[in-house]
Amino acid sequence: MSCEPAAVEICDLRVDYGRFVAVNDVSLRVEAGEVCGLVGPNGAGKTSTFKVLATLLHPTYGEVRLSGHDLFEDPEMARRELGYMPDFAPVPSDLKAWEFLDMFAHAYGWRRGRWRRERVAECLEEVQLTEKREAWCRSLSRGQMQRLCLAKTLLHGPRVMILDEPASGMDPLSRRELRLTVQRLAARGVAVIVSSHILGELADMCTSLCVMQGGRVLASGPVEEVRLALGDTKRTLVVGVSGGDERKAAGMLEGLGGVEEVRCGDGEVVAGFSGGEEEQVGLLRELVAGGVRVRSLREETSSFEELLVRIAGATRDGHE
Amino acid sequence: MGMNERGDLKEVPGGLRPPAWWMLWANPVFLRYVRARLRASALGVSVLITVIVSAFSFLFMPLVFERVEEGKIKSFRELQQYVARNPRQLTEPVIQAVLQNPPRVQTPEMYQRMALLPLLVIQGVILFVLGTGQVAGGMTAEADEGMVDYQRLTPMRPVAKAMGYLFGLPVREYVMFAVTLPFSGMAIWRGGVAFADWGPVALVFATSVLLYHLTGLVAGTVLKNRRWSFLLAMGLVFLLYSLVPQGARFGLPFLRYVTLWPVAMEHAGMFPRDQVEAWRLASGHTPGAGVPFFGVSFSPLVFTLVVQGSLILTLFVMVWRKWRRAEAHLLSKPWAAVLFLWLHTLVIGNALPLVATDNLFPSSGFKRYIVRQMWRPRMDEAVVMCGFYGVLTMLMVVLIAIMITPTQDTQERGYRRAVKAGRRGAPVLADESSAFLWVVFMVVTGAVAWAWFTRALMGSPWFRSDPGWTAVVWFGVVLGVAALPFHALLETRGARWPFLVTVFGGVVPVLAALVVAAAARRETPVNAVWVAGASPVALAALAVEHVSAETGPVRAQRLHAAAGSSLRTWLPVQAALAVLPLVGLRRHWRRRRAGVIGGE
Repeated sequence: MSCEPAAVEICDLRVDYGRFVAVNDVSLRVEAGEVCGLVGPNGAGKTSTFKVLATLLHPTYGEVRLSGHDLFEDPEMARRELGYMPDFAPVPSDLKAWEFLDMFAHAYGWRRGRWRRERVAECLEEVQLTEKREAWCRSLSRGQMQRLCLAKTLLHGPRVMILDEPASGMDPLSRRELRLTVQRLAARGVAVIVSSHILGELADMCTSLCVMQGGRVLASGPVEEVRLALGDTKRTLVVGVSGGDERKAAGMLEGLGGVEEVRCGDGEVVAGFSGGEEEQVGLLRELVAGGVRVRSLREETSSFEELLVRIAGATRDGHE
Repeated sequence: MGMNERGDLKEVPGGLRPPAWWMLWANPVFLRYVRARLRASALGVSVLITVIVSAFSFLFMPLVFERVEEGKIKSFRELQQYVARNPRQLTEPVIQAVLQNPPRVQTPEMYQRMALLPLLVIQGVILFVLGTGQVAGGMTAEADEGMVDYQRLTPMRPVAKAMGYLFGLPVREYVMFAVTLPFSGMAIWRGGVAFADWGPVALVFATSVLLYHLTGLVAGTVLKNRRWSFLLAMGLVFLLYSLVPQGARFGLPFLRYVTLWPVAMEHAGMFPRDQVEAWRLASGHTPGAGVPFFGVSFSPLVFTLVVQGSLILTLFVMVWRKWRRAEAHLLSKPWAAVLFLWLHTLVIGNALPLVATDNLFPSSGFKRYIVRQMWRPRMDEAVVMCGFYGVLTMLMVVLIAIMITPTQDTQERGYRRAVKAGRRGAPVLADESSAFLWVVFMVVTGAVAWAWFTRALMGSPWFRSDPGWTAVVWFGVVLGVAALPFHALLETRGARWPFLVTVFGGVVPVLAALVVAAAARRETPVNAVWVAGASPVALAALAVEHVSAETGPVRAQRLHAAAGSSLRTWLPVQAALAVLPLVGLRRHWRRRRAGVIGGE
């Protein structure tokens, strides 16, 4: 992996906790405008990676640059570029919502006055907490605290955002809003690295994925590339047929190359398929030529959840 | 949250800069606490209580003092009248003595000054006790809530963050203190106290506050439990004000200067004359005598500022290092070594000039009450002083070793980092490198400092005994036998093992010796001395046995012999036991090297 300037560059990152290697020679590159989902089972090394990126943890070794600033040599400059939201959002019990934001706006360099007040108001509005402006932080619900912390993360207009389980505790509506916010930040050129256990969310939000397992990166890049890199080439074909042709279609498919595990019923034939686009066209032609009345043909890929469950299972089996 | 519906967030202007560290009035952390701790509801009660107590002291104390003084004068006059009526009573020596010392007539200013003492106590309670507790507990609470990590993320400098917490956490206590100032100001004005008297006291009060608050901040930064950090900070303030200055009575007079009292004794015009004279007599303070430091004499103000200033600087460096990098040690190895040398320099530089002037000895206080010519220091108290210094040196080595010894994780990480960078090991000065050589350095310099002190004390005109430089070897061995295995265990096994070994090997034998001594009743506690030798801490005191002559009463000679026997029995045992952790340390280094290079 090259180390040319990008929004986030991680080269050979390693984090040890005693004998346990939490992050093992990880390299990753996230460009401006990219939304990168960091996924993996518990203990994969996601949070350690995030903590290093957030300058909260000094790694065993490795090089990390945020917008060209070396994280360890120039942490103050890197912090100006960085917005980090931890999985459990801390808020002080003795401040009101607007005071909490005001303190951090000030700490990031917004001088006292109208600009700072407006910025705080904007960020509160952004996370739909304007009506909670005067509420004590301790009185907010978990989801509202998460949103308040997101507002805090947006205050200084970071070029890189690191969101560790940002949607935990949020209701479905807030999650949808969060997704839109992230997408729009990315559209403006902000690099976002996000982890979530709700993988469906990541699928909708991310332009790239980094799959971690046992402290290592198994695959990273655009979503489809990652799927292929993880050996997820097997797809499911669902052929809709009319007039009770299911058995006939199933019989034909079983004899074709690249097709396996054929099942039929309810006007559909479902089969595992490992061929490419050309083979798919050929398969359709064969069915039609064989007199099967094909109503529809669609392809289904395995979900992120299935993918990760498979990775986790494979690793566990490997260990056993 | 949708920006489409509500409009986009505005672009952030370039050039945002966090406030500089010295702009306390614009420090976000400081202002956060101004907001949180100065809300009218909570502040009002605190201020009200402070005003009531201060006003009471201000109004009540001068009146009480005046009544007491009037009573004294009235009683004296009554005695005069009685003696005039009964001249034969004049033959009574007590009456003669009283009549020869008539009570001085106090001026109205003196009565007003009486209010300053309780006000100073109130101010001390507010800032020293409540303020320090708030700093320690508040800092731990901040870490507990996760806010410290959030503060780390901001681009403010570590110094600015440390300053914000240092002055922000006790901001309510500062306001309560400010509320007492008008009363103090009024008492100073009405009492006619010159600036030359209250100025130095106020200055040292301020540095003492800073010192104690920084102590609290360090405690709050290190500890995880807010109750423990509050208690530790309270304990430290109590130690600094009560127990530590007692070290001055055992040959370490510089310890007195961590408190306000030497300056208050020197510039005592703030307080009523009679009270000041009584305090000076009790503490042995001679106004204008200065504080000797090797060949130079400093005023108590300057010396206090130097002592407190160096401690303030060290504590601030600790806090700064923790803000710069959470996993950093409190002190770097060179700083710790310099601190160790500096503390010994303060002890020796301040103590040795006092040997000749007799102000160093615990019993010298008695000479103020008895005829001076009858007093001379005893050999056994000099031996105790040397032992006290030895134990203190051992404690300093152990405490500093705890601060600079890396955990196994840290060492291994540093070693991996070094190997990755193509080096043979972590840099010697880095936190990740072993502290072994630094502990050896402290053992050697500590032994030299102890020997210097001991030779000067024993070789003084009081005793004219030359323990010789073999004392360095004896004490060096005792110190090494205690400190090196302690460090080796710390580096190889973590904190639990050294703690258990300290309790069972260091404290239990001393406690057992105390029981044996108590059971000895009127007998000379020879067995107790022997039992105590099982503890390295006691050995540091028993090592003094080799520097004192076998003179004095029979009881002292028997104790002397017991100390020698105990030392000769236990030191070889402890030296043999000390080899095990040291061999373990060497093995640990090898294993680490093999583990990293072998790719574990």
